[in-house]
Amino acid sequence: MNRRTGGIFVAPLLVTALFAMLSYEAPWRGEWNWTVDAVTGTTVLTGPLTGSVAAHIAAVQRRLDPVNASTVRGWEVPLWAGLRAWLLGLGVYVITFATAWAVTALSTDGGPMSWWVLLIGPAVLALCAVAGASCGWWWPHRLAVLFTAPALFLFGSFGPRPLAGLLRQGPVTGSLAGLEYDARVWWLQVGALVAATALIASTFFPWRLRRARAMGAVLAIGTAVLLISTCVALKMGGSERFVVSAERPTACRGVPEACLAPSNLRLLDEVSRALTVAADILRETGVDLPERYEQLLAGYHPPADVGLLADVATSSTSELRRGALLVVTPAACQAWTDPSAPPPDLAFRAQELLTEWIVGRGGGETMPGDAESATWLSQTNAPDRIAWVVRTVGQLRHCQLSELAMPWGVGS
Amino acid sequence: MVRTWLVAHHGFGFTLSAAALTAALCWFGRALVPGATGGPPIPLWALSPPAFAILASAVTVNSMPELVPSIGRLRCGRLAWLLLVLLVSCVGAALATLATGLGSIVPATCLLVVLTFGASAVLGRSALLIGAVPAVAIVTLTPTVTLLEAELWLPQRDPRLWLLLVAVAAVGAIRYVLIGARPPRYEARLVDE
Repeated sequence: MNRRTGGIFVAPLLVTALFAMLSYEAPWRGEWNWTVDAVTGTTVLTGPLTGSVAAHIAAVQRRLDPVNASTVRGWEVPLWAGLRAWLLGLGVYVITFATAWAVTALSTDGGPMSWWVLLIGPAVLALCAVAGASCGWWWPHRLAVLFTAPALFLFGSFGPRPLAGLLRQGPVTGSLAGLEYDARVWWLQVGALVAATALIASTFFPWRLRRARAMGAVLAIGTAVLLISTCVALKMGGSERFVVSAERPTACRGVPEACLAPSNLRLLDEVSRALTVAADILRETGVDLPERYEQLLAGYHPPADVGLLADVATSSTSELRRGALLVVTPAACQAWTDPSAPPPDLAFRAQELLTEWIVGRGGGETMPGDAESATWLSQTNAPDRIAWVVRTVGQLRHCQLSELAMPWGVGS
Repeated sequence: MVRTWLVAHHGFGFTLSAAALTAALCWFGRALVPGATGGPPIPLWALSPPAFAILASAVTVNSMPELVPSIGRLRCGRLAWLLLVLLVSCVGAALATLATGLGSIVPATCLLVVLTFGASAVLGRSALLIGAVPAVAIVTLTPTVTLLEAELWLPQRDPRLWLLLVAVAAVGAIRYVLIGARPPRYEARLVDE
């Protein structure tokens, strides 16, 4: 091995990591914890690839076994192969983090940043590297190099939980607003990763030597106990990486105030503009809207006297339609989020019709869900339309959801 | 001679690996693999053609240095080897198609395997990229549930692209048969000396 060993794999590893990160199913949110998760999530691909690199280096070094085996420290060769691959993977990981940090920082960003979570990435890469080195060393064949990456990837997909979950450190697609990393799970997973890495590494010990045998046995038994206990703890106590945080919707703007969690700061301008447009249309009819709308977060349900913003994610619909969808929940009634006692179907239909009315009133294209709605929306000069709108908004504002009715009588 | 050829091209290992891959696809072809970027899961079936191509990339390069210029028998040997690997891969793909009941992956597998052989004439062992790039792209971009409607690997999806790829594969295959796979650098130096 020399300084250039494995260097040819840096470019493919880096391209794969950046390609994966920039191809996420969800748009970049400007949430720092989401960015951290995006970076740790790249190890889902770069980990197995690092394993293959380690397998390749170990397989190549195995050809020198007649020379290595005769030296005192020849048994360390596969460990150095794994270390070399790990360093390559670590370099790619650092560059990936730098890229992600820049992409987030160059636009509106917000929310807490649990930077310490990033330290689990190198642990994942280490496990994959030593597993790959083991494959390449004990089966020094080209096919071992090819099989290592898919095997590690598929183990992460189908392997027994919580062990397989160690190789799946993200990414999440949804917002992490109102959530934070569970430090207990993180520590247990890091412990399991380190233990598994050391356990595999202990197989390279020169077991024929008495002193090494004792040391190797202690290491193997100790790490096996640590691995088993951390996995049991994860199984019993749950391995969900996130828990509810103390984040609240404190970033506010506009009239009425649209209040979002600081993690969703990037969306605040769009949401407040859309809400203001739709609220102005409703206020022309004389309805009384709340002064403030707050975002629904995991672990935080806004009080009933403020409006509810349930889905603030970036939308491809027009600003008018987006605002209409946001403004039609003028009170954070418990029923909207209570799975045991949800609102009646009529409440949702009334909200849909109200949304389409706002869109039509604002000059947008309506999308009625049925023929009755289409007929009602087309009757622009009907005198009872405003009355229905005012009555419905009032009922929504006072959580009288069971009293909601469609304007053409009892709904089906 | 045949045995030497098979040993030099890891024929035994390839056959075992192809059989194991076929068995895995027959049993687990419909199993859903979570995407690597949080997208919808994909069936293992979708990764079959790149998997066979990656396997083929391991057996394109002759492990024995070819110290003589390509002669007729050597070219016949390469052609026979290409056809044999293609046959094994296509049989595996056909069995996987029958077992999963999803769309046929035989045309795509043939195309990728031949492309891999052609690429090996230029890239040598890096012809692995012919299979690896689509595999990473599928796992990363995770096309939606239309995969389960078996449209991903069908020629009808984009006939012009297929024609182009078939033409490139044919040219690559001819090049492989004529001059063989590019050897690793240390073997190239040996030949030069």
